[in-house]
Amino acid sequence: MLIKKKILIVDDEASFGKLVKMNLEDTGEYEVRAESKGAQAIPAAREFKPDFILLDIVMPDMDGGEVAQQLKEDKDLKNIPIGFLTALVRDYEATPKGDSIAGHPFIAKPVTVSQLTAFLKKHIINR
Amino acid sequence: MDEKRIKVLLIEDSVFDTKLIKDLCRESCSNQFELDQRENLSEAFKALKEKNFDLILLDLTLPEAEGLETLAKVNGRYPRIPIIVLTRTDDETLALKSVSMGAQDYLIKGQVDGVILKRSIRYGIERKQMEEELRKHRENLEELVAARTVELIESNKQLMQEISKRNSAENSLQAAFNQLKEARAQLIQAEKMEIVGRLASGIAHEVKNPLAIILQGMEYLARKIPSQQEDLATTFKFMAEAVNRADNIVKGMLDFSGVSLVERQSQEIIPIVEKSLVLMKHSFDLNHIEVIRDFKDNLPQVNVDKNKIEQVFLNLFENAVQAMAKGGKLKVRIWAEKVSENDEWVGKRKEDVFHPGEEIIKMEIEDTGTGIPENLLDKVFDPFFTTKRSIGGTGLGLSIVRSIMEMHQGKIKIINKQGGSGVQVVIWFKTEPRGG
Repeated sequence: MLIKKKILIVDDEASFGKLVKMNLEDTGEYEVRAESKGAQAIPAAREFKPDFILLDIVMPDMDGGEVAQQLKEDKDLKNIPIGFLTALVRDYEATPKGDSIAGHPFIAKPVTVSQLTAFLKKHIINR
Repeated sequence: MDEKRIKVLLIEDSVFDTKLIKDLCRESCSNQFELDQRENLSEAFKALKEKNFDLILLDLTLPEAEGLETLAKVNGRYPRIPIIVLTRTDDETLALKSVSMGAQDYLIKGQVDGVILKRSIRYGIERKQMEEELRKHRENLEELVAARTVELIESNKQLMQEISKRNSAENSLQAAFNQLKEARAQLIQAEKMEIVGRLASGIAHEVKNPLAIILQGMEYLARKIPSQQEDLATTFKFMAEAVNRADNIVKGMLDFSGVSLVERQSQEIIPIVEKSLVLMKHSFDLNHIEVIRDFKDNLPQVNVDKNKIEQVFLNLFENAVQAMAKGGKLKVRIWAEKVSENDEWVGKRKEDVFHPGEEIIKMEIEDTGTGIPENLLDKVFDPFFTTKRSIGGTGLGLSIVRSIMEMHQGKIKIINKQGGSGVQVVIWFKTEPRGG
């Protein structure tokens, strides 16, 4: 039986997080938890123990960069791979030469489900 | 008052008449007149040459025509000496004729006494003097008029010079004004660009988020509906296309604002053009467009960001294709040239991009399409200006093209082709020094 990958998505656009959860879970390959506040990322990660964390960058309470920083400083969570999901960059900037933001890969919104699963597969396998 | 004796020349062939006149003179005023007599005209002229006479007494007692002819001759040669005509008959017509021909008076022999002669001579001289003064006056006046005319011509010339000076001053003022206007337009343009740039990233974020939600939501719904419902599938397809279009606008804006991040390298221009043409080949073939290359050899290198310049060419070729929906010809010319002072975009000031004598690469891209309505020509580079909204135009293509050219200190303009329809794009690139 296939072991579902656990994905934590933190995006202040709650509806986006929820739709990504539904779409990814519909593939049968993922189990997703969606959070809409940056500050909830750490407690949710502790509890959910995800295989990958998708972080929005621009969030009102705590931005994705800060969340990533805190995750890296947490001895239990620092090994969980992180990817940014952001409306700030263009998609083709995310692909060539393994470009990254603060050492993490990123993918640009809007994104299709297949683009997103390809992104996840690439970075979870590379763990 | 008569200290000076009046010198009178009598031209008279008759001895009798001579004696008569001499007697009359002696009788009335012998001390006032100095009378010389000559028998004919040639003798008279000799005498006139030797001595300054004050008056001539001319006998007209010859056949009429001959007499008047004599008068004309004497008057013609000595116009300043008053002439009194002597006749034998009281002939009014002859008398009037001789006066009209210049004689001061006429006297009828036999009716003249000393007093009349004396008076006639005096009046004759006085009248002649007055005529003379009048004549001098007139001549003087003419001289004055001539002098004034010369002065007027001179001042007119100066005036013309001043007018032409003023005209050229006005022209250079106008030129300066135009430059100022141009600079102002460029400033406004630059400011617009900056605002668009600043807005772009903000808008990108605010628009991309809802687009992301719509796209995810649509994919979810599309999976949930039965696949045989064709109209629903079509609807989703349309919506996905709309999302894609909106996303392209935002991407275009980001391209436009992010254009300052250029990675320039010294390289050949032609391979970049060729690559862009290859990328467009499918589109050219599909629309029956023939590409005509006119590339000169031995071009200097350009220092450009290959990807950005490729973006410029792709944009321009794409526009050309859209303008030639029914097929046509795309002509691409590339050559190097030393620009001169009179060329557009060339100036001597430090801030001018191109300087006289500088070698540049010029490029012309011509299509045989529909051309651009004249009233829209100056808008084509404006962000969001498009006539192709219905087919997905964002109105950012040419704005990005121009921004990229400006980042490379290059120039671009788009005009309608002279003679025949179609558009001509003119591009100037700065070049690297040869052999460097």
